[in-house]
Amino acid sequence: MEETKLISLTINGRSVEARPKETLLAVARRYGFNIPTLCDHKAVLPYGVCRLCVLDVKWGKRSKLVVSCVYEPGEGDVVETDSERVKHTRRLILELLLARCPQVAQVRRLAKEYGAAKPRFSVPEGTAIGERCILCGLCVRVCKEVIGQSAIGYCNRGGERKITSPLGVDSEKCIGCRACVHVCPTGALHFEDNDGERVMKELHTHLSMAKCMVCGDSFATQKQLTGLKGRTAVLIETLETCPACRRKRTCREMEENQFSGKQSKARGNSHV
Amino acid sequence: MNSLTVAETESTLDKTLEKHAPDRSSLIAVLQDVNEHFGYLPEASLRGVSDRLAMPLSEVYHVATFYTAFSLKPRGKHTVKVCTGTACHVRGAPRVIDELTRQLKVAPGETTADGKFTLETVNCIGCCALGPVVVIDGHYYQTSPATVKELLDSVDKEPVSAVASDGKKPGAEPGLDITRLMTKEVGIAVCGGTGCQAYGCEAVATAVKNELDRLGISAKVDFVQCGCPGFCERGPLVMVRPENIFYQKVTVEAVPAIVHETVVGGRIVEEFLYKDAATNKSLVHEMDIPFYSKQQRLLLNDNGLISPTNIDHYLKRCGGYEALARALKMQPDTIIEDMRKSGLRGRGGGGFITGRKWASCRKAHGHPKYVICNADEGDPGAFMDRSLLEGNPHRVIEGMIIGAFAIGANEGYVYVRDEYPLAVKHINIAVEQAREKGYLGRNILGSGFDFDIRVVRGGGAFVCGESTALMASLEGKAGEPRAKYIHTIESGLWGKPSNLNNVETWANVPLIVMKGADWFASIGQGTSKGTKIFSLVGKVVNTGLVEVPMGMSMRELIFDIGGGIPNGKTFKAVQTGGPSGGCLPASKLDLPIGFDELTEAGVMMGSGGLIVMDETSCMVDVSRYFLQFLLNESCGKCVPCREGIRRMLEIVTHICEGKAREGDIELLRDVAQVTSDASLCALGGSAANPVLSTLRYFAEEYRAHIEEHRCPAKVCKSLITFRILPDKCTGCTACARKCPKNVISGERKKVHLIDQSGCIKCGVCLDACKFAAVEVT
Repeated sequence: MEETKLISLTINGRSVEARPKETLLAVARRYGFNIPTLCDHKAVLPYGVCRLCVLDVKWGKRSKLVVSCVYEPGEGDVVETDSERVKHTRRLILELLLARCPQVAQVRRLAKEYGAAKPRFSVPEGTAIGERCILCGLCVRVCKEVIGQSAIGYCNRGGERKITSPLGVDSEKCIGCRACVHVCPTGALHFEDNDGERVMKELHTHLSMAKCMVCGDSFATQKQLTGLKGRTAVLIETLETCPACRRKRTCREMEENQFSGKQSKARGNSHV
Repeated sequence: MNSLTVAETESTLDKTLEKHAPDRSSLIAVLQDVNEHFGYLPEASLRGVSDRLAMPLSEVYHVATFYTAFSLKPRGKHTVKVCTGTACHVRGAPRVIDELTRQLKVAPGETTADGKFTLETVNCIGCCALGPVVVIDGHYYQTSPATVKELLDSVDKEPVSAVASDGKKPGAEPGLDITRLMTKEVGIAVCGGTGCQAYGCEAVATAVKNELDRLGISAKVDFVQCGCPGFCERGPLVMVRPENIFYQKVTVEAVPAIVHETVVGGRIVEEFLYKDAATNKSLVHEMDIPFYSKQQRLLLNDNGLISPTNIDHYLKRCGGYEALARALKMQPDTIIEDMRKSGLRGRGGGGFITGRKWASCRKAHGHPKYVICNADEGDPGAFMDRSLLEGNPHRVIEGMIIGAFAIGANEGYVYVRDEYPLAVKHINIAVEQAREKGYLGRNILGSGFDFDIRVVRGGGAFVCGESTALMASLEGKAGEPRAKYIHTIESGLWGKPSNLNNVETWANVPLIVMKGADWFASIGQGTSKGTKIFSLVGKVVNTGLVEVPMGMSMRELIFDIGGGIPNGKTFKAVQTGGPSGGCLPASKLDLPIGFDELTEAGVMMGSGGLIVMDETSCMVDVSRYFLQFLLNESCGKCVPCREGIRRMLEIVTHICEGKAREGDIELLRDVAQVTSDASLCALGGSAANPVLSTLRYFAEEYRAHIEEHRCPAKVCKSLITFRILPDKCTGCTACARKCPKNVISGERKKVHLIDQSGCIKCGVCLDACKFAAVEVT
């Protein structure tokens, strides 16, 4: 059997063990420590940009802040999760983010927790005051790593950096799955379903919806179904049936089979 | 502006792709070719590239908008680029930009309505010894606000013939005594470096060549357009061998006399000798000139001897590739041990012990391994690497081959920043020549060692000087750094062990192999061994490149070699280390120049840019300048850098405008702390240095701005007033006529008056007045 060498370290004086390749954030959370993050999500690889997850690490006489979502602990690390330096850093980062997005409740809540409720910086003017994007990159990463479409991405550099559909026009690769809307921590992305059409607002993308072959309701975009047809072994009838009707069908079959003794055929899962 | 058809775009794309590998690592090179062909990147080209290189359009779009070389909007017929590097800034670039904006009626980044001009700014083109510098369609010009109009008018016109044609037929002039040419090895070198180009050296070189041809003596005179010898302030530079007679500020008209008298006759033409300001003596030989006599030009000396595009010069005049031959017979571990013993530390700014880096890379697991030359020299005000790469590219190549052999790498990259076209050209030629002679390729010099180099151009991004960003760029991505908990030595380019060193670091390697580690370690002081090339620029009499042993004092460098401060002004500060460094005041002039010494003083060695400032520079404005630079150049990925620099800039700008609030300095320090502690890379990590060092040494200046709303250097526009002195004004109307806002009133021969409500503090009246009647308070 393969030997897994664990790494011994301490967090706030408590001895813990890290698995090889495990990040410090994962270890700390596994042991129940509460570490704030904004750009972290279990569905995607760590990106290390919000810097809220910083922790203080000491090696002998030296100490420095590490970004725990990308840092792999070393043997003998002495970690502090709430040192003055960590608290000061988190406070200022939240102050900067709140000054950028003063109307975002999620940021305001975290900022308040760390004593940054009133940013000392000037408030944005005009429409900029409604900015909701904190450039955490979760939308870009989920679309690339999980959905495989890379329909949304970054643009420009430095102070001008923003997230947008390529060329700022409708995104051909977008299938309207709304994974980006789902992972966004600040509600910066929106969609609207109207009359058989889904509009991915910030992506400037309009997608026609598919209708359920049983009840006629719009339940997914055409592109989502087309994409899945090529990728899974699920029967086409199942794909073209909305989740509600699929559940009804499955229940009916289960009832029938219960009395006839037959096994119900695999119908695929009920979520698209 | 033409509207391109999709078909036109596609066909250009197809032609471009034939030249490059069909994968994403070619992305930036492909986009550059398209950008150069059309002047911009049409939308169809981005879609086409995304298809052909099998890359998501979102990633192509990110790259296209990340690098400043690319424009997504059509550009005008002529692109006017103004350098906004530190040296140019200190010498008046902002006023040149203002004047260009007024003349062209567009802001930087925009194109004139008639499509003739696009105005852009560029973060340093490496002509730092001159400045302010403007580049139009690839031609370099030194400018001032007064010469802007003339410059714009001259575009599109026929260039004045460089050589006066006098109808004489070629052939040795009867009676021309050519004894000297027959008995000595006579040579004439005209500097061809980018700096001298702005002074018109191309025309001088052409004139020399034509004169040699006309006299029929070309075969007997070794004429080279050589690499930069460093004394850029005095360009065009011409040197005649074997006496090493040094001519400066040579004009085209003077060429026939110089060829006739000096080259042929061995006689001196007084007018073009360097005259020492202190003694009023004319100095003949290069090594007598104080600028040169105190230098130790181990790396730069060869620049003046060779044509950089002629490998035979390198071989015969510089002992070229002898170090390589010797190294290939040594054990790799011995070479690495020698590097370590020599004490060589990285010359790009990191100052890491080179031998230790090589040892780690040799030990690292993974194959293939890569050696990389970082020629992204982004520090504004620094142009050492440009001159080395333009002037002696083989030296750098030789160093890389030796390093690759020691480490066990068979592939190398030279990453040259986009803003150095001549350096790109010369290194490409040199790599070709090295291959032809068998110094690159398979079984080098019969050793069994294979190694080759690929030259890659950057896309215009200061952040790509950071090692992980540079590697991302090589991989065809936007230049975004990544966390360095795992070093690039272990996992770098494409996740493989990669050894990255600066141009000057590589250039030192052959020297150490030939002359030994002990010899190298005997030069310099403390933990800083060997020589360092500095770019001595800004407000100093002798601007240019100087190479001195580590440990020389700042005072000696600036005053003895640099000749002190011009125009009767006083030294105020010297800025070192680029945007990661800081400013040293007069009280620190006796500091020896070394890595540790400068870091301790709160500045840093950096790559070697030294921008000297006098009382006309405002230190608060300087920190504002650097923060603006960094906000533009940041990749934008992490919060402390992007948002932190944004807010530090805001605060410092308020101070410059007299709008500072209670607690601003404390807030500035708070932000600085987090930006330094929590940024992803050294760009953010050192962004606070200019602010913190100026707060440390020039606190009084900040106080004057904040509490008195006064700018002692009279730079910050919101805090200065232009006034006409009634007792000096003669009513000549010169200022009123030139005022761009027409806010100066007054009759002929009567005292004039500036209407303060409309005055934009442009300074045109100050320049126009011949009676010193305009006062700035």
